[in-house]
Amino acid sequence: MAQALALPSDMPVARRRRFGAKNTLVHLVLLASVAAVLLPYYLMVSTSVKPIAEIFTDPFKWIPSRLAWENYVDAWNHAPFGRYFLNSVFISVSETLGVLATSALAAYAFSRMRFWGREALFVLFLGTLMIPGEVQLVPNYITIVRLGWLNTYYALIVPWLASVFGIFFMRQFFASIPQELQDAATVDGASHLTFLWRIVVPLSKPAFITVGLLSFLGSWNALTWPLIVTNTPEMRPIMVGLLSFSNEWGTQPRLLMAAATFSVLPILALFFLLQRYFIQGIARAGIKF
Amino acid sequence: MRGLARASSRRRRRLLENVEAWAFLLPAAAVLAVFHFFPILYAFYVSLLKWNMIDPVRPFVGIGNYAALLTDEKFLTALSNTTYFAVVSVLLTIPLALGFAVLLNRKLSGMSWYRTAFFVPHVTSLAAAAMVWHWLYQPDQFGLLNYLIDRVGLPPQRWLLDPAQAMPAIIAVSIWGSIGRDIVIFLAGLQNISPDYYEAAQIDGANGVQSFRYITLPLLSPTTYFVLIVSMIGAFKVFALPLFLTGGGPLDRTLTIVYSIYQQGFQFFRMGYASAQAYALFAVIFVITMLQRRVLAPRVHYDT
Amino acid sequence: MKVGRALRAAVASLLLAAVLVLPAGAGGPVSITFWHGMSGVLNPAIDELTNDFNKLNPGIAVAAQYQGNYGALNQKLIAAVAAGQPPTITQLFPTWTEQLIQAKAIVPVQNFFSGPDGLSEEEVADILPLLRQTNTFNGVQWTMPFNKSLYLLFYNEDLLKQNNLRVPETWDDLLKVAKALTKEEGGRTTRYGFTVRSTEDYFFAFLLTNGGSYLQAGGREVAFNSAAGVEALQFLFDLVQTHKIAYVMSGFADADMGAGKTAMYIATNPGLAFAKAAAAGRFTVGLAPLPYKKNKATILSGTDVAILAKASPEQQAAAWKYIKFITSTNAQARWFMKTYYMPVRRSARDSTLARVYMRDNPEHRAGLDSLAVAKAEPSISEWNEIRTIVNGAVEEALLGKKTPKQALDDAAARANRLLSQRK
Repeated sequence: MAQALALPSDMPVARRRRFGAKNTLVHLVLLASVAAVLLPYYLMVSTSVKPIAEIFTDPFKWIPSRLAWENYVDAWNHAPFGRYFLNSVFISVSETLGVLATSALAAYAFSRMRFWGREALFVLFLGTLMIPGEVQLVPNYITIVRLGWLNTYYALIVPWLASVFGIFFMRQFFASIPQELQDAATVDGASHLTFLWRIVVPLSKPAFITVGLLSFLGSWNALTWPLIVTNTPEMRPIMVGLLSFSNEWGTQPRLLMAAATFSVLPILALFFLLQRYFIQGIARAGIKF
Repeated sequence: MRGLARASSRRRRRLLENVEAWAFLLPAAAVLAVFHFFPILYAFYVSLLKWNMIDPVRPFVGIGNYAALLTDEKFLTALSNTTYFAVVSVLLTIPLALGFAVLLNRKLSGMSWYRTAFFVPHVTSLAAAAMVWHWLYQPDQFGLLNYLIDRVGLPPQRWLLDPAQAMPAIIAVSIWGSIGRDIVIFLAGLQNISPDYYEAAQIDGANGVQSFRYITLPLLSPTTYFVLIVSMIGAFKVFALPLFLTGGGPLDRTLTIVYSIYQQGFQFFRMGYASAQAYALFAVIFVITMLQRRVLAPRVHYDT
Repeated sequence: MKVGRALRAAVASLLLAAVLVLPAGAGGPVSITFWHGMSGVLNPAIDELTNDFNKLNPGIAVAAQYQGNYGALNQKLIAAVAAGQPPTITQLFPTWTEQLIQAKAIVPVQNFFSGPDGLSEEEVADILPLLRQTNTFNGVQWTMPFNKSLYLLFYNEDLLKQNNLRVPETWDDLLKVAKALTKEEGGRTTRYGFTVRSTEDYFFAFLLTNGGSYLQAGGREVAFNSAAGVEALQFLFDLVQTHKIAYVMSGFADADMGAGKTAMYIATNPGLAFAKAAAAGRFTVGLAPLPYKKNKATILSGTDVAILAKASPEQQAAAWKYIKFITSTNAQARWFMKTYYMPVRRSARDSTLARVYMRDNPEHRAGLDSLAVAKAEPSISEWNEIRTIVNGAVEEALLGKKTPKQALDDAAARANRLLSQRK
């Protein structure tokens, strides 16, 4: 796998592979720190493949005597994880597509169109970023109940189909597209929609990837909202399912760790495949603000 | 004649553009209106009532709920717990993240692997992380952490079950989870500092520590400021960690404000009181953020 | 030509509509839903009862739906009532009933006693009086008891036999037996005689067996911080800190007993299934009435069932039939044998089926004997929160942060404040 790229900037040519006491020390410190950070994951995976007799041992057993794959089979069979996965995929993909669409449209309006009340509306949108989501928890729950959407996909997806962060982030990108391009398109008789779809979107791929990834990540890992609007196994996304699994089978770490492992595997896989976009996205989000 | 016609067609065009713009905004605005703006107002209205969601009788209590907050020991406990958590976790994470970012900024081989490793906890969900940490923090001799400290001769601790250790234990998990994100942001900030500054400093004979203090820190201050504000706001909203690790205990020592909102609203169905607590949280976050701005913004050095 | 084709299309769509629409209205079985929070082995048990009922009553189709644990069931129920889409029947704890009555969300089961499918006076009297009491508000019985349990002492029978110990009957017995069964090896305790869960039910169990009570007469103030209560909490504290023959935990005591960490603990009778699973055949689990000091007593726990007011009269009648069935003598005897919940009818308890079962499984004697001395918790809606407050007090006392008297007095003050807000 290629090394993740560093951010574009004028960096001096690296003095790579400088052997010396200082650099060895740096490596040691980093290695030790990373080992500490990754220790929980080792515990998770090693417990998930330990046979039941080796879990509660004194002293702690670092390496299991054999790979107890039956833990995974048992965990999978004790709860409808297949359904949980399906739910998560459906919910997260829908939300991400929704956010990308609504954010692109709104960001375009804010950055490339003139309309009455544009600045005021933008400030209003920004203001909501300051409000903690918990203020909206109770009223949204009441709204969902009144609409009869409790324990449905609507409740899980609809409230998250737009994101102020997404709008803001894309606006920055769209704003940097030269006005000449837009003028040329107008002269050619293109509508705003055509300009957006044909020119702006292809030019803003990094923004779309970033917003898409962050949105997907947030949706996949979401807990508070899905927790309160779902009550039956059929509707639970994977993380809420994992939680209810721990309520029932919490006394059996081998099952719990197996479930935890295969719950994080998809996102981890996605992360490793697209890590440069993840990392660049977070970094950009930090800088742009 | 023609002037008038042109003016009115211009007006029509502008009107059309307005309508078109609003059409572009509509999808996002509709969702945000219903699920973000309206709830903010509705929450305030509900906070003035005493209501359990099904009772047709909903007495208006005005500021009664807010007044009750001031004398509610449980809420005040949650407030102090949350403040403790936020201050300690943020003040520990930022220097650590900055330190690691500086180390990672050296052009040695393998840096990106380290950075990826630090970042993994940010990507995995809190539910899974909490489960593993709960197992790690097992209070008896079977817990991995107790095993490790036993190797250095310390007796097994109760960790999440000990009122004094529970919150620090949660803070540790929080640092573990967010350090990667902060490292990445700091790294980006560091790499944005022009090397000319460092070269100039070297020519003037400055050593590593001095250039860190007089060049890196000031030029990094916008980034630091950003991380500080965002981390603090996020820390005040902590909920998932105590929910999965300690259930708010022991002795309510890990009860946080959002946890309290959840309890009041979704376990005791005190919708009015829960909404009042949510607004109180907003007020706290607002005040803290404004304080931070007042104190820190003047110290932020922008590279002009 | 065109007219002909159009006509044919119209007829076809009318026929299609008729086929689709008509059967829905054409008198199929009355369809009702039953929301419950029973998981594990209880889920198939209720499904079995439900299937039997459906077979015996072809005009009714009951769907028993598991809604998650009781916390989730409560949330879902309140939300459904608020949204106007509740189930037909719901399982509920006595502490939930008041709210639902105030919101006019349920109809009293008493209404159905005198109907065509009703209960004779004998049949009504057959239901254990204590249970009918807890379900009666202002003289009207609103809900029907369904799965009731009580607290018993669970113990490792083999361990007691091996050490020639008799099953403890009083608090002093408990102390002695726990001491005898606590084992130390190399400076560390490898087995404790007793487990103390830092929960309010543990405290209440010892409060009641010391002659204490939950509320004062009149129900406006709590009574758990009486001398009896302080003594009870002190006793638990002493077991842990002074004698060091018990340890505090908040998890699953049956798992600990199965792992050999403890010899005795307190739990409700359905917990027997978990205890047996944890023992996995390595030892026999015994049940005994709670050890007492002043009087024999135990806590009555468990849920009832209620009919929701939003249901149509047909549905309500069908719901009543179902409730009548699952609380009938035969069904309750079978329910008892499958789930270890107490039968709600005397006739079920005395039936041949139950008696034969008890002869072969004598550990259940303890539960049935304790039924006579069971006390129910107050069925007021504030009680849930008061339990949480008491839980906090128990934790504080057991961890030595406050003396038992201080902890209970503080808790009583907060609880009384809650109660004073009752209209």
